[in-house]
Amino acid sequence: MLNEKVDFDLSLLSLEELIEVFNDIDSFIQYLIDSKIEVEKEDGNA
Amino acid sequence: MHNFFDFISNDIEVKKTFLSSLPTKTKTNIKKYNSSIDEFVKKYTSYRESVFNYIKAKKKALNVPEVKKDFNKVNKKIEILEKGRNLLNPLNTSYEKMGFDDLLYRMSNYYVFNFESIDNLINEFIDKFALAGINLEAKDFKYNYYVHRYMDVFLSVRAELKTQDDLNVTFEEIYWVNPDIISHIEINFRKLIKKNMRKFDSYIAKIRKEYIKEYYISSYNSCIEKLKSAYLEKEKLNDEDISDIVEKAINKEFDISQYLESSKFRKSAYSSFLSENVDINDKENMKVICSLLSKLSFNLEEYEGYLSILPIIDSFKKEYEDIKDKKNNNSSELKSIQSSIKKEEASLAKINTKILRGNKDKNLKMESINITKKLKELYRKYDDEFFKSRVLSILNPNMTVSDVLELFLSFDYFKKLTIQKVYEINDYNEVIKQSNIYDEFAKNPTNLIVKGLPVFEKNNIPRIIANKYKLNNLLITEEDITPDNLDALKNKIALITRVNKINNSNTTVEKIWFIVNANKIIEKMKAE
Repeated sequence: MLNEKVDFDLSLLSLEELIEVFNDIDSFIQYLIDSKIEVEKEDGNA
Repeated sequence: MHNFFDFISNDIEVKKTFLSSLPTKTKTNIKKYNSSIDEFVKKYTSYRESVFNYIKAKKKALNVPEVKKDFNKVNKKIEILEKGRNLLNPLNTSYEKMGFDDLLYRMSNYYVFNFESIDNLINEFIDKFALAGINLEAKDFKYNYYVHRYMDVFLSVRAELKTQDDLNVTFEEIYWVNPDIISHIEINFRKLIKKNMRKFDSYIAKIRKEYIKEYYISSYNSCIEKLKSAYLEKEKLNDEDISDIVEKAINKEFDISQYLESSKFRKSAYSSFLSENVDINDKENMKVICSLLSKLSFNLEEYEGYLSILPIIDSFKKEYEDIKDKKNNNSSELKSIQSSIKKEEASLAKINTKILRGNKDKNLKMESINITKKLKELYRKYDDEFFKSRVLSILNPNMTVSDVLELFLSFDYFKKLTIQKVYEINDYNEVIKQSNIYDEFAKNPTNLIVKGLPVFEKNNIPRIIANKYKLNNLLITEEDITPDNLDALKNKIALITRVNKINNSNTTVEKIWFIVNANKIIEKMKAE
Protein backbone atom coordinates (compact mmCIF):
# COMPACT_ATOMS: atom_id res chain seq x y z
CA MET A 1 0.00 0.00 0.00
CA LEU A 2 1.19 3.53 -0.63
CA ASN A 3 2.64 5.38 2.25
CA GLU A 4 2.50 8.68 0.46
CA LYS A 5 0.31 11.41 1.84
CA VAL A 6 -3.12 11.89 0.29
CA ASP A 7 -4.91 15.19 0.12
CA PHE A 8 -8.61 14.43 0.53
CA ASP A 9 -9.63 17.93 -0.53
CA LEU A 10 -12.22 17.28 -3.25
CA SER A 11 -11.98 20.86 -4.53
CA LEU A 12 -8.64 19.87 -6.04
CA LEU A 13 -10.37 17.54 -8.47
CA SER A 14 -11.60 18.61 -11.88
CA LEU A 15 -15.33 18.26 -12.60
CA GLU A 16 -14.62 15.21 -14.74
CA GLU A 17 -12.52 13.61 -11.99
CA LEU A 18 -15.27 14.19 -9.44
CA ILE A 19 -17.80 12.29 -11.51
CA GLU A 20 -15.32 9.59 -12.37
CA VAL A 21 -14.19 9.05 -8.78
CA PHE A 22 -17.78 8.71 -7.61
CA ASN A 23 -18.51 6.15 -10.32
CA ASP A 24 -15.32 4.25 -9.50
CA ILE A 25 -16.19 4.13 -5.79
CA ASP A 26 -19.76 3.09 -6.53
CA SER A 27 -18.65 0.34 -8.92
CA PHE A 28 -16.08 -0.91 -6.42
CA ILE A 29 -18.71 -1.17 -3.67
CA GLN A 30 -20.84 -3.26 -5.99
CA TYR A 31 -17.81 -5.36 -6.89
CA LEU A 32 -17.11 -6.01 -3.20
CA ILE A 33 -20.73 -7.00 -2.49
CA ASP A 34 -20.73 -9.35 -5.45
CA SER A 35 -17.41 -10.86 -4.31
CA LYS A 36 -18.67 -12.02 -0.91
CA ILE A 37 -18.71 -15.76 -0.50
CA GLU A 38 -21.66 -17.59 1.00
CA VAL A 39 -20.67 -19.85 3.82
CA GLU A 40 -21.61 -23.49 3.08
CA LYS A 41 -23.19 -25.64 5.76
CA GLU A 42 -20.74 -28.44 6.58
CA ASP A 43 -17.09 -29.41 6.86
CA GLY A 44 -13.82 -27.69 6.14
CA ASN A 45 -11.07 -27.42 8.66
CA ALA A 46 -11.66 -25.34 11.72
CA MET B 1 1.10 14.31 -2.63
CA HIS B 2 -1.63 12.42 -4.40
CA ASN B 3 -5.05 13.83 -4.90
CA PHE B 4 -8.11 11.86 -3.95
CA PHE B 5 -8.79 10.69 -7.49
CA ASP B 6 -5.33 9.16 -7.86
CA PHE B 7 -5.60 7.68 -4.39
CA ILE B 8 -8.88 5.91 -5.12
CA SER B 9 -7.71 4.59 -8.50
CA ASN B 10 -4.70 3.09 -6.85
CA ASP B 11 -6.39 1.90 -3.67
CA ILE B 12 -9.05 -0.02 -5.58
CA GLU B 13 -6.36 -1.94 -7.47
CA VAL B 14 -4.46 -2.65 -4.27
CA LYS B 15 -7.55 -3.93 -2.51
CA LYS B 16 -8.59 -6.10 -5.44
CA THR B 17 -5.12 -7.63 -5.48
CA PHE B 18 -5.25 -8.14 -1.74
CA LEU B 19 -8.63 -9.89 -1.86
CA SER B 20 -7.58 -12.13 -4.69
CA SER B 21 -4.59 -13.24 -2.66
CA LEU B 22 -6.68 -14.34 0.35
CA PRO B 23 -7.30 -18.08 0.75
CA THR B 24 -10.98 -19.09 0.60
CA LYS B 25 -10.88 -22.87 1.01
CA THR B 26 -12.02 -23.22 4.59
CA LYS B 27 -14.84 -21.76 6.61
CA THR B 28 -12.39 -19.71 8.60
CA ASN B 29 -10.74 -18.45 5.42
CA ILE B 30 -14.11 -17.43 4.07
CA LYS B 31 -15.00 -15.72 7.31
CA LYS B 32 -11.78 -13.69 7.22
CA TYR B 33 -12.26 -12.93 3.54
CA ASN B 34 -15.83 -11.69 4.03
CA SER B 35 -14.76 -9.68 7.02
CA SER B 36 -12.18 -7.84 4.88
CA ILE B 37 -14.85 -7.17 2.31
CA ASP B 38 -17.17 -5.78 4.98
CA GLU B 39 -14.39 -3.51 6.20
CA PHE B 40 -13.72 -2.23 2.69
CA VAL B 41 -17.43 -1.76 1.97
CA LYS B 42 -17.76 0.31 5.11
CA LYS B 43 -14.79 2.48 4.20
CA TYR B 44 -15.86 2.99 0.62
CA THR B 45 -19.45 3.69 1.56
CA SER B 46 -18.22 6.55 3.68
CA TYR B 47 -16.04 7.80 0.78
CA ARG B 48 -19.06 7.60 -1.50
CA GLU B 49 -21.16 9.62 0.90
CA SER B 50 -18.54 12.37 1.13
CA VAL B 51 -18.13 12.59 -2.63
CA PHE B 52 -21.89 12.49 -3.13
CA ASN B 53 -22.45 15.38 -0.73
CA TYR B 54 -19.72 17.36 -2.42
CA ILE B 55 -21.19 16.69 -5.88
CA LYS B 56 -24.61 17.83 -4.69
CA ALA B 57 -23.18 21.06 -3.33
CA LYS B 58 -21.11 21.65 -6.44
CA LYS B 59 -24.12 21.08 -8.71
CA LYS B 60 -26.14 23.54 -6.66
CA ALA B 61 -23.39 26.13 -7.02
CA LEU B 62 -23.17 25.62 -10.81
CA ASN B 63 -26.90 25.49 -11.45
CA VAL B 64 -28.25 27.84 -14.06
CA PRO B 65 -31.38 29.57 -12.81
CA GLU B 66 -34.48 28.88 -14.88
CA VAL B 67 -35.89 31.81 -16.77
CA LYS B 68 -39.64 31.58 -16.71
CA LYS B 69 -41.21 32.21 -20.07
CA ASP B 70 -44.78 33.31 -20.36
CA PHE B 71 -46.38 32.21 -23.60
CA ASN B 72 -49.91 33.15 -22.53
CA LYS B 73 -49.83 36.66 -23.94
CA VAL B 74 -48.48 35.71 -27.36
CA ASN B 75 -50.71 32.62 -27.59
CA LYS B 76 -53.73 34.76 -26.87
CA LYS B 77 -52.63 37.21 -29.55
CA ILE B 78 -52.32 34.38 -32.07
CA GLU B 79 -55.72 32.99 -31.10
CA ILE B 80 -57.39 36.36 -31.74
CA LEU B 81 -55.58 36.84 -35.03
CA GLU B 82 -56.48 33.32 -36.22
CA LYS B 83 -60.11 34.26 -35.60
CA GLY B 84 -59.54 37.29 -37.81
CA ARG B 85 -57.85 35.13 -40.45
CA ASN B 86 -61.01 33.04 -40.61
CA LEU B 87 -63.46 35.95 -40.63
CA LEU B 88 -61.58 38.07 -43.17
CA ASN B 89 -60.57 35.26 -45.56
CA PRO B 90 -61.56 36.46 -49.05
CA LEU B 91 -61.44 32.95 -50.54
CA ASN B 92 -64.21 31.18 -48.70
CA THR B 93 -67.83 31.90 -47.83
CA SER B 94 -69.96 32.13 -44.71
CA TYR B 95 -70.53 28.41 -45.04
CA GLU B 96 -66.88 27.68 -44.25
CA LYS B 97 -66.59 30.56 -41.78
CA MET B 98 -69.51 29.14 -39.78
CA GLY B 99 -67.65 25.81 -39.64
CA PHE B 100 -70.34 23.87 -41.51
CA ASP B 101 -67.74 22.18 -43.69
CA ASP B 102 -66.10 20.66 -40.62
CA LEU B 103 -69.46 19.51 -39.22
CA LEU B 104 -70.50 18.00 -42.55
CA TYR B 105 -67.22 16.15 -42.88
CA ARG B 106 -67.68 14.69 -39.42
CA MET B 107 -71.28 13.77 -40.17
CA SER B 108 -70.32 12.05 -43.40
CA ASN B 109 -67.96 9.92 -41.30
CA TYR B 110 -70.68 9.09 -38.78
CA TYR B 111 -69.93 5.36 -38.88
CA VAL B 112 -66.76 5.92 -36.85
CA PHE B 113 -68.62 7.65 -34.06
CA ASN B 114 -70.91 6.28 -31.42
CA PHE B 115 -74.56 7.22 -31.11
CA GLU B 116 -73.99 9.90 -28.48
CA SER B 117 -71.47 11.65 -30.71
CA ILE B 118 -74.01 11.78 -33.54
CA ASP B 119 -76.46 13.46 -31.21
CA ASN B 120 -73.77 15.95 -30.18
CA LEU B 121 -73.06 16.62 -33.84
CA ILE B 122 -76.73 17.32 -34.57
CA ASN B 123 -76.82 19.62 -31.54
CA GLU B 124 -73.78 21.48 -32.88
CA PHE B 125 -75.61 22.06 -36.17
CA ILE B 126 -78.68 23.36 -34.38
CA ASP B 127 -76.51 25.61 -32.15
CA LYS B 128 -74.83 27.16 -35.17
CA PHE B 129 -78.21 27.97 -36.69
CA ALA B 130 -79.22 29.52 -33.36
CA LEU B 131 -76.13 31.79 -33.47
CA ALA B 132 -77.51 33.28 -36.66
CA GLY B 133 -80.92 33.72 -35.04
CA ILE B 134 -82.50 30.67 -36.71
CA ASN B 135 -84.54 28.50 -34.41
CA LEU B 136 -84.91 25.10 -36.06
CA GLU B 137 -88.15 23.22 -35.53
CA ALA B 138 -89.52 19.82 -36.51
CA LYS B 139 -91.18 21.35 -39.59
CA ASP B 140 -87.72 22.20 -40.95
CA PHE B 141 -86.86 18.50 -41.09
CA LYS B 142 -89.19 17.14 -43.74
CA TYR B 143 -86.57 15.96 -46.17
CA ASN B 144 -88.14 12.56 -46.03
CA TYR B 145 -90.50 10.73 -43.77
CA TYR B 146 -87.77 9.13 -41.68
CA VAL B 147 -85.75 12.30 -41.16
CA HIS B 148 -88.90 14.02 -39.98
CA ARG B 149 -89.72 11.23 -37.55
CA TYR B 150 -86.26 11.15 -36.05
CA MET B 151 -85.76 14.89 -35.79
CA ASP B 152 -89.22 15.41 -34.35
CA VAL B 153 -88.28 13.16 -31.42
CA PHE B 154 -84.74 14.60 -31.29
CA LEU B 155 -86.02 18.14 -30.87
CA SER B 156 -88.50 16.98 -28.25
CA VAL B 157 -85.66 15.39 -26.30
CA ARG B 158 -83.67 18.62 -26.69
CA ALA B 159 -86.65 20.54 -25.26
CA GLU B 160 -86.87 17.94 -22.49
CA LEU B 161 -90.34 16.90 -23.57
CA LYS B 162 -89.22 13.35 -24.33
CA THR B 163 -86.39 11.15 -23.09
CA GLN B 164 -83.22 9.77 -24.58
CA ASP B 165 -84.82 6.33 -24.46
CA ASP B 166 -87.60 7.56 -26.76
CA LEU B 167 -84.94 8.69 -29.22
CA ASN B 168 -83.09 5.36 -29.01
CA VAL B 169 -86.30 3.46 -29.71
CA THR B 170 -87.14 5.71 -32.67
CA PHE B 171 -83.67 5.23 -34.11
CA GLU B 172 -83.95 1.46 -33.78
CA GLU B 173 -87.27 1.47 -35.63
CA ILE B 174 -86.04 3.69 -38.44
CA TYR B 175 -82.58 2.26 -38.95
CA TRP B 176 -83.57 -1.20 -40.22
CA VAL B 177 -85.87 0.32 -42.81
CA ASN B 178 -83.56 3.15 -43.71
CA PRO B 179 -79.92 2.48 -42.75
CA ASP B 180 -78.91 5.72 -44.46
CA ILE B 181 -80.92 7.83 -42.02
CA ILE B 182 -77.90 9.79 -40.84
CA SER B 183 -76.82 10.66 -44.39
CA HIS B 184 -80.37 11.85 -44.98
CA ILE B 185 -80.26 14.06 -41.89
CA GLU B 186 -76.99 15.41 -43.29
CA ILE B 187 -78.66 16.38 -46.57
CA ASN B 188 -81.56 17.93 -44.75
CA PHE B 189 -79.05 20.16 -42.96
CA ARG B 190 -77.38 20.97 -46.30
CA LYS B 191 -80.71 22.11 -47.66
CA LEU B 192 -81.38 24.20 -44.57
CA ILE B 193 -77.95 25.79 -44.81
CA LYS B 194 -78.56 26.66 -48.46
CA LYS B 195 -81.99 28.05 -47.65
CA ASN B 196 -80.65 30.26 -44.85
CA MET B 197 -77.41 31.33 -46.50
CA ARG B 198 -78.38 35.01 -46.47
CA LYS B 199 -78.89 34.89 -42.71
CA PHE B 200 -75.49 33.27 -42.24
CA ASP B 201 -73.96 35.95 -44.48
CA SER B 202 -75.54 38.62 -42.27
CA TYR B 203 -74.38 36.94 -39.11
CA ILE B 204 -70.80 36.63 -40.35
CA ALA B 205 -70.87 40.23 -41.59
CA LYS B 206 -72.04 41.31 -38.14
CA ILE B 207 -69.32 39.49 -36.18
CA ARG B 208 -66.73 40.56 -38.73
CA LYS B 209 -67.77 44.19 -38.16
CA GLU B 210 -67.53 43.65 -34.39
CA TYR B 211 -64.11 42.06 -34.76
CA ILE B 212 -62.79 44.93 -36.90
CA LYS B 213 -64.11 47.44 -34.38
CA GLU B 214 -62.64 45.61 -31.40
CA TYR B 215 -59.24 44.77 -32.81
CA TYR B 216 -58.65 47.50 -35.45
CA ILE B 217 -57.80 44.93 -38.10
CA SER B 218 -59.73 45.69 -41.24
CA SER B 219 -58.13 43.59 -43.92
CA TYR B 220 -57.04 40.00 -44.43
CA ASN B 221 -53.55 41.07 -45.43
CA SER B 222 -53.03 43.25 -42.40
CA CYS B 223 -54.25 40.36 -40.24
CA ILE B 224 -51.68 38.05 -41.82
CA GLU B 225 -48.95 40.66 -41.27
CA LYS B 226 -49.86 40.89 -37.61
CA LEU B 227 -49.95 37.09 -37.36
CA LYS B 228 -46.46 36.99 -38.83
CA SER B 229 -45.22 39.37 -36.12
CA ALA B 230 -46.91 37.28 -33.43
CA TYR B 231 -45.37 34.05 -34.76
CA LEU B 232 -41.94 35.73 -34.82
CA GLU B 233 -42.49 36.96 -31.28
CA LYS B 234 -43.37 33.41 -30.20
CA GLU B 235 -40.32 32.03 -31.99
CA LYS B 236 -38.11 34.50 -30.17
CA LEU B 237 -39.61 33.40 -26.83
CA ASN B 238 -39.05 29.80 -27.85
CA ASP B 239 -35.41 30.52 -28.62
CA GLU B 240 -33.26 28.45 -26.30
CA ASP B 241 -31.52 30.18 -23.46
CA ILE B 242 -28.86 28.57 -21.28
CA SER B 243 -31.36 27.17 -18.80
CA ASP B 244 -33.27 25.56 -21.70
CA ILE B 245 -30.03 24.02 -22.96
CA VAL B 246 -29.24 22.63 -19.51
CA GLU B 247 -32.74 21.24 -19.13
CA LYS B 248 -32.61 19.58 -22.55
CA ALA B 249 -29.22 18.09 -21.72
CA ILE B 250 -30.56 16.69 -18.44
CA ASN B 251 -33.59 15.26 -20.26
CA LYS B 252 -31.26 13.61 -22.79
CA GLU B 253 -32.71 15.52 -25.73
CA PHE B 254 -29.13 15.71 -26.85
CA ASP B 255 -25.86 14.20 -25.63
CA ILE B 256 -23.83 16.88 -23.85
CA SER B 257 -20.65 14.82 -24.08
CA GLN B 258 -20.77 15.38 -27.86
CA TYR B 259 -20.43 19.10 -27.13
CA LEU B 260 -17.10 18.78 -25.30
CA GLU B 261 -14.08 20.14 -27.15
CA SER B 262 -12.51 16.70 -27.31
CA SER B 263 -15.55 15.19 -29.05
CA LYS B 264 -15.15 14.00 -32.64
CA PHE B 265 -18.82 14.76 -33.25
CA ARG B 266 -18.28 18.39 -32.30
CA LYS B 267 -15.29 18.68 -34.60
CA SER B 268 -17.23 17.16 -37.48
CA ALA B 269 -20.22 19.48 -36.87
CA TYR B 270 -18.00 22.54 -37.26
CA SER B 271 -16.19 21.18 -40.28
CA SER B 272 -19.54 20.31 -41.93
CA PHE B 273 -20.35 23.98 -42.28
CA LEU B 274 -17.17 25.98 -41.74
CA SER B 275 -13.94 25.89 -43.68
CA GLU B 276 -10.65 25.51 -41.80
CA ASN B 277 -9.84 29.19 -42.26
CA VAL B 278 -12.73 30.26 -40.08
CA ASP B 279 -11.61 31.31 -36.62
CA ILE B 280 -14.23 29.76 -34.35
CA ASN B 281 -12.79 31.62 -31.38
CA ASP B 282 -13.57 34.99 -32.91
CA LYS B 283 -16.75 36.01 -31.09
CA GLU B 284 -17.94 38.57 -33.62
CA ASN B 285 -17.41 36.19 -36.47
CA MET B 286 -19.21 33.34 -34.68
CA LYS B 287 -22.12 35.67 -33.93
CA VAL B 288 -22.64 36.25 -37.65
CA ILE B 289 -22.15 32.56 -38.46
CA CYS B 290 -24.60 31.42 -35.80
CA SER B 291 -27.18 33.89 -37.04
CA LEU B 292 -26.81 32.39 -40.54
CA LEU B 293 -26.99 28.85 -39.19
CA SER B 294 -30.19 29.67 -37.30
CA LYS B 295 -31.73 30.93 -40.52
CA LEU B 296 -30.56 27.78 -42.29
CA SER B 297 -32.11 25.64 -39.58
CA PHE B 298 -35.35 27.56 -40.00
CA ASN B 299 -35.29 26.93 -43.75
CA LEU B 300 -34.64 23.22 -43.17
CA GLU B 301 -37.65 23.08 -40.82
CA GLU B 302 -39.77 24.68 -43.51
CA TYR B 303 -38.48 22.19 -46.08
CA GLU B 304 -39.29 19.33 -43.74
CA GLY B 305 -42.83 20.68 -43.24
CA TYR B 306 -43.24 21.11 -46.98
CA LEU B 307 -42.22 17.49 -47.59
CA SER B 308 -44.88 16.31 -45.14
CA ILE B 309 -47.68 17.95 -47.19
CA LEU B 310 -46.16 17.58 -50.63
CA PRO B 311 -48.61 14.82 -51.68
CA ILE B 312 -51.45 17.34 -51.38
CA ILE B 313 -49.62 19.90 -53.52
CA ASP B 314 -48.76 17.24 -56.09
CA SER B 315 -52.40 16.15 -56.25
CA PHE B 316 -53.48 19.73 -56.98
CA LYS B 317 -50.78 20.11 -59.60
CA LYS B 318 -51.84 16.89 -61.33
CA GLU B 319 -55.49 17.93 -61.43
CA TYR B 320 -55.04 21.47 -62.71
CA GLU B 321 -51.80 21.34 -64.70
CA ASP B 322 -53.52 20.87 -68.06
CA ILE B 323 -55.95 23.73 -67.68
CA LYS B 324 -53.81 26.32 -65.90
CA ASP B 325 -53.22 28.33 -69.07
CA LYS B 326 -56.83 28.39 -70.18
CA LYS B 327 -59.67 30.65 -69.21
CA ASN B 328 -61.85 28.32 -67.23
CA ASN B 329 -65.29 28.58 -65.91
CA ASN B 330 -67.56 25.89 -64.54
CA SER B 331 -70.59 28.06 -63.80
CA SER B 332 -72.71 26.10 -66.29
CA GLU B 333 -71.92 22.81 -64.50
CA LEU B 334 -72.83 24.40 -61.18
CA LYS B 335 -76.10 25.72 -62.57
CA SER B 336 -76.95 22.36 -64.07
CA ILE B 337 -76.41 20.54 -60.76
CA GLN B 338 -78.38 23.16 -58.88
CA SER B 339 -81.30 22.71 -61.22
CA SER B 340 -81.13 18.90 -60.85
CA ILE B 341 -81.19 19.32 -57.08
CA LYS B 342 -84.16 21.63 -57.34
CA LYS B 343 -86.03 19.16 -59.56
CA GLU B 344 -85.37 16.16 -57.32
CA GLU B 345 -86.20 18.08 -54.14
CA ALA B 346 -89.50 19.14 -55.70
CA SER B 347 -90.35 15.47 -56.44
CA LEU B 348 -89.34 14.51 -52.94
CA ALA B 349 -91.46 17.26 -51.41
CA LYS B 350 -94.56 15.95 -53.27
CA ILE B 351 -93.98 12.41 -51.98
CA ASN B 352 -93.33 13.62 -48.42
CA THR B 353 -96.55 15.63 -48.43
CA LYS B 354 -98.51 12.47 -49.37
CA ILE B 355 -96.81 10.43 -46.65
CA LEU B 356 -97.28 13.04 -43.98
CA ARG B 357 -100.95 13.30 -44.92
CA GLY B 358 -101.36 9.65 -43.99
CA ASN B 359 -100.70 7.74 -47.20
CA LYS B 360 -99.47 4.33 -46.02
CA ASP B 361 -98.19 3.12 -49.39
CA LYS B 362 -94.82 1.43 -48.70
CA ASN B 363 -93.62 2.23 -52.22
CA LEU B 364 -93.87 5.93 -51.48
CA LYS B 365 -91.50 5.57 -48.53
CA MET B 366 -89.03 3.55 -50.61
CA GLU B 367 -89.26 6.11 -53.40
CA SER B 368 -88.44 8.90 -50.91
CA ILE B 369 -85.33 6.97 -49.81
CA ASN B 370 -84.23 6.48 -53.43
CA ILE B 371 -84.63 10.14 -54.30
CA THR B 372 -82.73 11.12 -51.14
CA LYS B 373 -79.87 8.85 -52.25
CA LYS B 374 -79.79 10.62 -55.62
CA LEU B 375 -79.79 13.99 -53.88
CA LYS B 376 -76.87 12.95 -51.68
CA GLU B 377 -74.83 12.30 -54.81
CA LEU B 378 -75.97 15.57 -56.37
CA TYR B 379 -74.93 17.56 -53.31
CA ARG B 380 -71.51 15.88 -53.36
CA LYS B 381 -71.13 16.80 -57.02
CA TYR B 382 -72.20 20.35 -56.22
CA ASP B 383 -69.57 20.55 -53.47
CA ASP B 384 -66.88 19.34 -55.91
CA GLU B 385 -67.90 21.85 -58.55
CA PHE B 386 -68.10 24.66 -56.01
CA PHE B 387 -64.56 24.01 -54.81
CA LYS B 388 -63.44 23.79 -58.41
CA SER B 389 -65.05 27.16 -59.10
CA ARG B 390 -63.02 28.71 -56.27
CA VAL B 391 -59.84 27.15 -57.65
CA LEU B 392 -60.62 28.37 -61.16
CA SER B 393 -61.18 31.89 -59.88
CA ILE B 394 -57.50 32.07 -58.87
CA LEU B 395 -55.92 29.49 -61.18
CA ASN B 396 -53.04 30.82 -63.25
CA PRO B 397 -49.69 29.47 -64.45
CA ASN B 398 -47.84 31.58 -61.86
CA MET B 399 -49.62 30.24 -58.81
CA THR B 400 -47.32 29.63 -55.89
CA VAL B 401 -47.31 26.80 -53.39
CA SER B 402 -48.39 29.38 -50.82
CA ASP B 403 -51.53 30.11 -52.89
CA VAL B 404 -52.42 26.41 -52.93
CA LEU B 405 -51.80 26.10 -49.18
CA GLU B 406 -54.25 28.97 -48.60
CA LEU B 407 -56.81 27.30 -50.82
CA PHE B 408 -56.90 24.04 -48.89
CA LEU B 409 -56.75 25.90 -45.58
CA SER B 410 -59.86 27.80 -46.63
CA PHE B 411 -61.84 24.70 -47.57
CA ASP B 412 -61.50 22.22 -44.75
CA TYR B 413 -63.85 19.63 -46.26
CA PHE B 414 -61.78 19.40 -49.47
CA LYS B 415 -58.55 19.38 -47.61
CA LYS B 416 -59.74 16.30 -45.71
CA LEU B 417 -61.10 14.58 -48.83
CA THR B 418 -57.78 15.20 -50.58
CA ILE B 419 -55.89 13.85 -47.57
CA GLN B 420 -58.01 10.69 -47.66
CA LYS B 421 -57.19 10.26 -51.32
CA VAL B 422 -53.48 11.10 -51.45
CA TYR B 423 -52.41 9.36 -48.24
CA GLU B 424 -54.81 6.48 -48.92
CA ILE B 425 -56.28 6.60 -45.44
CA ASN B 426 -59.84 6.01 -44.41
CA ASP B 427 -59.37 6.00 -40.69
CA TYR B 428 -61.01 9.18 -39.38
CA ASN B 429 -58.42 9.78 -36.64
CA GLU B 430 -55.60 9.39 -39.15
CA VAL B 431 -57.24 11.96 -41.42
CA ILE B 432 -57.55 14.43 -38.54
CA LYS B 433 -53.92 13.83 -37.56
CA GLN B 434 -52.76 14.52 -41.12
CA SER B 435 -55.08 17.53 -41.33
CA ASN B 436 -53.51 19.00 -38.20
CA ILE B 437 -50.03 18.46 -39.63
CA TYR B 438 -51.16 20.29 -42.76
CA ASP B 439 -52.68 23.18 -40.81
CA GLU B 440 -49.61 23.64 -38.64
CA PHE B 441 -47.46 24.08 -41.72
CA ALA B 442 -49.87 25.96 -43.95
CA LYS B 443 -50.94 28.45 -41.28
CA ASN B 444 -47.40 29.55 -40.50
CA PRO B 445 -47.08 33.05 -41.96
CA THR B 446 -43.31 33.06 -41.47
CA ASN B 447 -42.77 30.45 -44.19
CA LEU B 448 -40.38 31.91 -46.73
CA ILE B 449 -39.58 29.33 -49.38
CA VAL B 450 -43.15 28.38 -50.34
CA LYS B 451 -44.11 32.01 -50.89
CA GLY B 452 -42.04 32.24 -54.04
CA LEU B 453 -42.23 28.62 -55.15
CA PRO B 454 -44.20 28.20 -58.40
CA VAL B 455 -46.53 25.23 -58.02
CA PHE B 456 -46.54 24.21 -61.70
CA GLU B 457 -42.77 24.10 -62.08
CA LYS B 458 -40.22 21.55 -61.02
CA ASN B 459 -38.61 22.93 -57.89
CA ASN B 460 -35.33 21.96 -56.34
CA ILE B 461 -35.55 23.28 -52.81
CA PRO B 462 -32.29 21.72 -51.58
CA ARG B 463 -30.51 23.58 -54.37
CA ILE B 464 -32.29 26.84 -53.57
CA ILE B 465 -31.28 26.56 -49.90
CA ALA B 466 -27.71 25.39 -50.52
CA ASN B 467 -27.00 28.14 -53.06
CA LYS B 468 -28.20 30.82 -50.71
CA TYR B 469 -25.85 29.77 -47.92
CA LYS B 470 -22.93 29.09 -50.20
CA LEU B 471 -23.10 32.79 -50.97
CA ASN B 472 -22.55 33.31 -47.25
CA ASN B 473 -19.54 30.97 -47.32
CA LEU B 474 -21.17 28.11 -45.47
CA LEU B 475 -20.06 24.68 -46.64
CA ILE B 476 -23.33 23.15 -47.65
CA THR B 477 -24.36 21.38 -50.81
CA GLU B 478 -27.60 20.34 -52.37
CA GLU B 479 -26.59 16.71 -51.74
CA ASP B 480 -26.43 17.38 -47.99
CA ILE B 481 -30.07 18.45 -47.88
CA THR B 482 -31.89 15.15 -48.31
CA PRO B 483 -35.00 14.17 -46.34
CA ASP B 484 -33.03 11.49 -44.45
CA ASN B 485 -30.27 13.91 -43.53
CA LEU B 486 -32.38 16.82 -42.27
CA ASP B 487 -32.33 15.76 -38.61
CA ALA B 488 -28.57 15.25 -38.65
CA LEU B 489 -28.06 18.69 -40.21
CA LYS B 490 -30.33 20.35 -37.67
CA ASN B 491 -28.54 18.59 -34.80
CA LYS B 492 -25.17 19.82 -36.04
CA ILE B 493 -26.48 23.36 -36.36
CA ALA B 494 -27.95 23.09 -32.86
CA LEU B 495 -24.57 22.02 -31.51
CA ILE B 496 -22.74 24.99 -33.00
CA THR B 497 -25.34 27.56 -31.96
CA ARG B 498 -25.64 26.10 -28.47
CA VAL B 499 -21.88 25.97 -27.92
CA ASN B 500 -21.73 29.58 -29.05
CA LYS B 501 -24.44 30.57 -26.57
CA ILE B 502 -22.69 28.68 -23.78
CA ASN B 503 -19.35 30.30 -24.61
CA ASN B 504 -20.97 33.71 -24.32
CA SER B 505 -22.52 32.93 -20.96
CA ASN B 506 -21.38 32.48 -17.37
CA THR B 507 -21.16 28.74 -17.69
CA THR B 508 -19.18 26.30 -19.83
CA VAL B 509 -19.86 23.06 -21.69
CA GLU B 510 -17.83 21.19 -19.05
CA LYS B 511 -19.95 22.65 -16.25
CA ILE B 512 -23.16 21.63 -18.02
CA TRP B 513 -21.68 18.15 -18.60
CA PHE B 514 -21.01 18.01 -14.85
CA ILE B 515 -24.55 19.15 -13.98
CA VAL B 516 -26.01 16.44 -16.23
CA ASN B 517 -23.84 13.69 -14.77
CA ALA B 518 -24.30 14.91 -11.20
CA ASN B 519 -28.02 14.78 -11.85
CA LYS B 520 -27.74 11.16 -12.99
CA ILE B 521 -25.88 10.29 -9.80
CA ILE B 522 -28.42 12.07 -7.61
CA GLU B 523 -31.31 10.26 -9.31
CA LYS B 524 -29.53 6.94 -8.90
CA MET B 525 -28.87 7.49 -5.20
CA LYS B 526 -32.51 8.52 -4.69
CA ALA B 527 -33.66 5.27 -6.24
CA GLU B 528 -31.47 3.12 -3.97
